[in-house]
Amino acid sequence: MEYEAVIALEIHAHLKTARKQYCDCPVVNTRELADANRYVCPVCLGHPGVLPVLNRESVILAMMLGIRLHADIARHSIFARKHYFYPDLPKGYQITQYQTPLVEGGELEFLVDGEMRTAQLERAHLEEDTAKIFYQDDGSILLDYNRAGVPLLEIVTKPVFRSAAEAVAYAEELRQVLRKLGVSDANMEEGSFRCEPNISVRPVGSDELRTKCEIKNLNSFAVIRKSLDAEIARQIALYEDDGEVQHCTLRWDEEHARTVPMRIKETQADYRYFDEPDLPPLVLTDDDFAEARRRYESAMFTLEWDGKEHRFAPGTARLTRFFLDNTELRESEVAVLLEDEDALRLLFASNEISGAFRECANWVLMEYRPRRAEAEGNITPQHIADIVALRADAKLNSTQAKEVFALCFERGISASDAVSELGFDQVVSESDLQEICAQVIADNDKIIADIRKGKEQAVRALLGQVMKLTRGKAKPDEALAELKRQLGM
Amino acid sequence: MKELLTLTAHELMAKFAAGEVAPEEFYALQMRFARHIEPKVRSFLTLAEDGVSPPDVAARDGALWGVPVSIKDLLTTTDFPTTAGSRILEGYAPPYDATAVKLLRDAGNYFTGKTNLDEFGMGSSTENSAYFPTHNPWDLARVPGGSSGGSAASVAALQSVVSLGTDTGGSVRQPAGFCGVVGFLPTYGYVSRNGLIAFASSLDHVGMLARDVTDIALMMNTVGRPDKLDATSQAPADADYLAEMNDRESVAGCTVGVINQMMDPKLVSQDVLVACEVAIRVLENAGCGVKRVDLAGVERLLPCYYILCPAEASSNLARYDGIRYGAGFPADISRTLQQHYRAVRSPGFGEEVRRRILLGTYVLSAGYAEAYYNQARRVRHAITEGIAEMFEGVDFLLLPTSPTTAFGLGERIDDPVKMYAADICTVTANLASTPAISLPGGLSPDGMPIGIQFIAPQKHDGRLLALARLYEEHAGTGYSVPPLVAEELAGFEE
Ligand SMILES: [Zn+2]
Repeated sequence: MEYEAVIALEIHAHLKTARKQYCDCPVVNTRELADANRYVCPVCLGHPGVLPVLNRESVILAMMLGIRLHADIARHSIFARKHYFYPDLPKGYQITQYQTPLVEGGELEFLVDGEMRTAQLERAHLEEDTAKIFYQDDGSILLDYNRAGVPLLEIVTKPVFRSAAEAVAYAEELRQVLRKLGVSDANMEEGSFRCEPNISVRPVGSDELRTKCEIKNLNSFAVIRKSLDAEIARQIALYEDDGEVQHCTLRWDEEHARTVPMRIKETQADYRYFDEPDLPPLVLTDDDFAEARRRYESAMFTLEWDGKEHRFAPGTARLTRFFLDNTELRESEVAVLLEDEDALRLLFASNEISGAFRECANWVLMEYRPRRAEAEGNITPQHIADIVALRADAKLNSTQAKEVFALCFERGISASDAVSELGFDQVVSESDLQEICAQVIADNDKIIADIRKGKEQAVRALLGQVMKLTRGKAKPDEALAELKRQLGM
Repeated sequence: MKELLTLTAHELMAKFAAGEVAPEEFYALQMRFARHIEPKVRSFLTLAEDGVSPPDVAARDGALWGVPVSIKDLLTTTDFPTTAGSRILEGYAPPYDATAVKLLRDAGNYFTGKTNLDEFGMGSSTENSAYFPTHNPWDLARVPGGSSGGSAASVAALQSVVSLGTDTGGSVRQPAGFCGVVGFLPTYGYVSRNGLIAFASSLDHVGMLARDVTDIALMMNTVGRPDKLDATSQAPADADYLAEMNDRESVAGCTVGVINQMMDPKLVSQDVLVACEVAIRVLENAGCGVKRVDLAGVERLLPCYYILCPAEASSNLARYDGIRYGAGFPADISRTLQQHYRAVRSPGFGEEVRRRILLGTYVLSAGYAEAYYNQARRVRHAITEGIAEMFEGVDFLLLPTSPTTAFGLGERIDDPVKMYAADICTVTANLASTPAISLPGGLSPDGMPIGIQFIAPQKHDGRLLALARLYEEHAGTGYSVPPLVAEELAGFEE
C-alpha cells in the first residue's frame, strides 16, 4: 500500500522584546550556568502575591505576524491559565491564550524545489516561556529562571504537510519571515525558535486523520527532516505489520537515527484551563492596529527593478521566485543574498544605475561580501556601477578594477578619483608603445625564434612583457596589434 | 496617657498636631499595650519588636501620618516574615512590599505587626490558622471571625488603631461585625492586589478595619490608589474619600433597599434581625427612604461562591512547591520529583486548604468544568446583573453582616458546610465586585457585637462612606471598648 504523511507544526518563537511577557525583567539569553538567575524578579519567580502585567510590545509583534499571514487578529482576546506541575514552571500554571488566540487562521507561502506552496495556519497565540533546566550527572537538575516569562508566540499549522521536505521548507520560511519582520531572532541553536512536529501517516487517497505522535527537542532543520523521515517510515512499518500507532511523544536518537518514545500518552493531559483573572481581556485599539500596520509596512522589502518599485512582504519565497524569474542569479546566490540584505540592496541599487545585473552581482558577491566580512567599508551603488562601466569600456583590466574597488571600499572616494590616484588613467602614447614593443622584440630572441618556427601563440608572452613595462596602462589589443605589425605577422 | 489608646486615628492625629503626644511616643505605648494583652487575644503572628521598621515619619503629609497599623499576614511585607497563616510559608521573607503596605509606609505609618488569619484566607473563624486561633476580645471563648480575625481583634483590643485586611467572601466585614469595629470592602480594583497573596483572584479585595468610618476614609485616601503593578486596578487617581464621606448632599433622601431574603428568620438569628430592624429605623430617622426588595437566587450564592473560590485557589496555590522559597526549600535532591511535591505540599497545607485544592481541582477538570466551574461563572454573571438591576430602584442595600453573632471556638470547625453558611450575607458583594461596609449595630442581649452591612453599586465607594457616616452619627452604636479590654487597660501599667 502507498502511504502519505500528515504533518502539522507547532512552533514556539521568542518574541524580540526588551522585557519579559508579564514583568519588567530584561530578556537576556544567557547560556552559562554562572549567569543563571540574574534576570529574575518576584513576578517571574512566581512569588506569593505577585501579579502579571502584559507587555504590550509583544502584542504588537504578534499582530505584525498576523498581518503578514493575512490572518484574523482578534480585537478582543483573553488569557488563560494552563496548569501542570513541573519545576521549570514557577506558578504551577502558564499564562497563555486558549479559546481566543490573538491570531487566528492565515496562510504562508513557501518554496519546495523552486515550486510555490501554501500552508494554512490554525492559530498563533501569546504565552510565556518556562525556566531552563540544566541536567546534572547525579540525576538532579538546576533551574535557570532567566528564561522564565520570556514572551513566546506559539504558531500552529493545520495538518497540511505531506512530507518532511515540505514541513522543513515551511519552517525555514516562517523563520525568515519572523526575522525579516523583526518579530523574533528565531535562532534554533539558542532555543528562540523551537519546532515540534506532530505526525501521522495514512493510505494515499484517504482523508482520515490517524493517531499522531509528537517529536520534541529538535534543534536543527536537518534533524527535523531526518526525524520526520524516520518517523514516517516507523509508522508505515507498523501499519504494514498490522500494528497500531500509539499516541506518544518522541525524541530523536541521533546515534541510532531513529525516533524513541519519551512517554506514552494514555489520556490527554488535563490542563484545567480557565480564564486568567489577573489580566483583563486584551482589547486592541485602532492605534494598536495602526502601529502594527506601520511597523509591518516598514519591514516590507522594496526593490527598484526596471525603474519600477517592487514591494515584497517580509520573507523569502516570493523574493526567491522573483529573482529566479527575472535575473540571471543562481538559486545558491539568491539564498546568499537573502541572508545578506545589505548586499542585496547594493546589488539592486547598482543595477538600477548600471543595468548590467550579472556584472554588478559578481562585484557584490565576489568582492564586496568578502571585504565587508572584514570591515564596514564605503562602497556605494555608484562605485559598483562605475567600475562595471570602466571594465565594459576596457578602461581597466580586471586586476586594475579590483585595485580600484579596494581603494573605493577603503576610502569611499569616487571610482574615477581612485583610477587617477592609481595612475590607471595615464595613456601610453603611440610612439612610446612603438618604442617599448621594439625593445621587447629586441630583448627576446628565443621567443622570436619560436614565433618564426610557427608557434604564433608565443606572441602572448611578449604582450605580457609590454603590459608589465607600461605598468598595465597600455591597451592590450593595441599593444598586440603593434607587436604583430613590427613582427610582420 | 493610656486613654489615648482608645482614640480613633483622626482623634489621635489631632493630638499629634496639637503636640500633646508624639507619634513615636504613642507607637511605643501602643506596642506595650499590644504585647500586654496579646497572650489573651493572640491577634498577631508577628508583633513588631522595638526598633523594628521605624517609618519615615518625616513624610508628614500622609493621611494617617504616624498612626500605628496592623497588617493581615496575607499581605507581603519586607520587614516582617509573611506566612499567609500557613506552614508552607513559615519563615518566608518577601522580597517586596504589597502596594497597600508600601503606600502606608510611604505615608509615615507605623506597623504593629502581622495579624493572624485562616490559612490563605480560607475560613470564617481564624481557627484555620496553621499556628494558633485568635480569641474574640468580647468573649475569649468565641472566634473573632475570619479570615481577617487577627486584624479585627487587634483593632477591637486596642492593639492597633487601624488594620489592613483582605476580603474574598466577607473576610474583613464578618470579623469586623463579630468584633464590633468597622470593616470596609472597596470596589474590586480600588486597592491594588499587588502583594495580596492570592486566594481567589477574581474575588480578592484588600480591605480595612477601623474604629469609625472617618478612619476608613483616611485609610482609603492612603491605599485607594491606582497601581501599574495590578492590571485589574481601576482606582480613580485623585479621589478624596474624606471629602466624599462628608458630602451629605450625596445621600440626602437616598433610598436603602432591605433584602427580604437576608431577613429570613430561618437564615438569620433573632438578635441580628432585631438589630437590623433598629438600623432601618435609624436610617428612616436620618431621612432615608427604606424599601423592601427581593434578591433572586439567594440559594445559589454559596454554591456559586464555593465553586469559584476553590477553583481559583487550586490554581493560585500551585506555586507552593518548595523549589524557589518556602517550606521544603532548598529541595532535597535525594527525592524524586513526586516525592518532593508530596513531602512539601502534604504537610505544608492545612486540612481546609487541602479540601479546597481538591475541590477546585475537581471542578476545573475536563468533564466536570462545564457542570461546575463554567456554570458557577454564569451564575456569578446573573448575580452581578441582578444586583445591578436592584440598584436601579435603590441607592444602597442593607443586610446583616452575618446571620449570627460570633460563635464559639471549636463550635463549627468540624462542620465545613455550617462554617461556609456564615458567609451567606457577605459573598454577594464579592461576587458582584461592589463595595460594602460592616458597621457596629449594637450588642446582642448576651453582649456580643452585631454587624450591619451596607452595599453600594460598583465605584460608589465615597458615597457608601457618606451613608455609613450618616448611619454612624444617628445610630450611636459605634465602637466601644470591649469590657475585657477595658479591664486589661485599667490594670495596664504604662
Ligand atoms: Zn521578572
